[in-house]
Amino acid sequence: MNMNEATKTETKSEWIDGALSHFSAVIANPENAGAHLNLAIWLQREERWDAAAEAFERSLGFDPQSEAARIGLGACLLKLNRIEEALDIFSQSGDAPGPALFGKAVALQLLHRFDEAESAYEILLESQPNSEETLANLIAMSAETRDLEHMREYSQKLLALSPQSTVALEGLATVALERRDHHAAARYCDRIVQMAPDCLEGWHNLRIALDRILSAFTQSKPAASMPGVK
Amino acid sequence: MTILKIPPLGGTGCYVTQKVVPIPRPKLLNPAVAHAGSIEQPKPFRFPVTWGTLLAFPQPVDITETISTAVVVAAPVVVVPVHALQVVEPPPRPSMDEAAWEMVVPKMVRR
Repeated sequence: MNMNEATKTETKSEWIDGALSHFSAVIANPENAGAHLNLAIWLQREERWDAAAEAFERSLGFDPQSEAARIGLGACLLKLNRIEEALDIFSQSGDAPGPALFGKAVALQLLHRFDEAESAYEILLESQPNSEETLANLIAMSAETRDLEHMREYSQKLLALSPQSTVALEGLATVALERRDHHAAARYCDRIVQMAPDCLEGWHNLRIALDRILSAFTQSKPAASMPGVK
Repeated sequence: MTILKIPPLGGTGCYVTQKVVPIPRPKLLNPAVAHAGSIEQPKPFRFPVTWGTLLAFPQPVDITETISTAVVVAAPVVVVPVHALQVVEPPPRPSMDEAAWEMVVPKMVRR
């Protein structure tokens, strides 16, 4: 047995142990909200979204106040593309800043209800101005609404928090390309391809920006004035 | 096909004819498309909506604690007033003669 096979066997064994442990806890305590919650979390980590959603629902049935079960259920529904249902679940928690409001904002954004989503994100940003995920989603929303000014603002904030953020760099590159600031576009695209070498858009846009810089340079200087050209 | 007449070097007055076969090019249905394609445009970046923090939010709970607490709470606690207590005396111990082993092991054997 080689190392890979040994690791696989170990992983499989761990998986079976995890499954047995969580399912037997639920069978032994069928009315225990915590047992259902633990099973749901395990299923969610195994990316069994349907089964996880059902387990979160059962947990929520036994403990309707459980914030963890509500957030987990909403997140699974988002994964299952059941966005309206996810919105209903997240909306039960009200508009206090927290994960439920973030889930609500995401659901609204996915439903293209951008104004409502923006209001929810604004509340979240007031309480947590350094939330990178909120800023990334706001950049995504600005891209959809073609709101370059907001895209620049959120991208700069995100870049200040996380200088390696490709989302922030892509946002700034988009703004620069749209505004024909080719030097800035080339700089941002260069950083994007360094961070994410498999980003095809980054390579393409870097070439476009460099081409534009070059053509602007050749246009501004007539051929006769260039050294070596008669 | 075009026939070009090329003047000879040296000015002898004789022309050389040469057949020029055009290079075949792919036919385009719409020349405007070809023109637009020649000017490359930036490709939009993809900005996915993410909610990773939501997936990480629920944390497992210790259910053994929950169960033991539930058992303790569920157990009935009866408070009995002191005056209601009765002293229950244990049944008198059987005498040596009445003891169970007396019936099993006859006295004569012991002696």
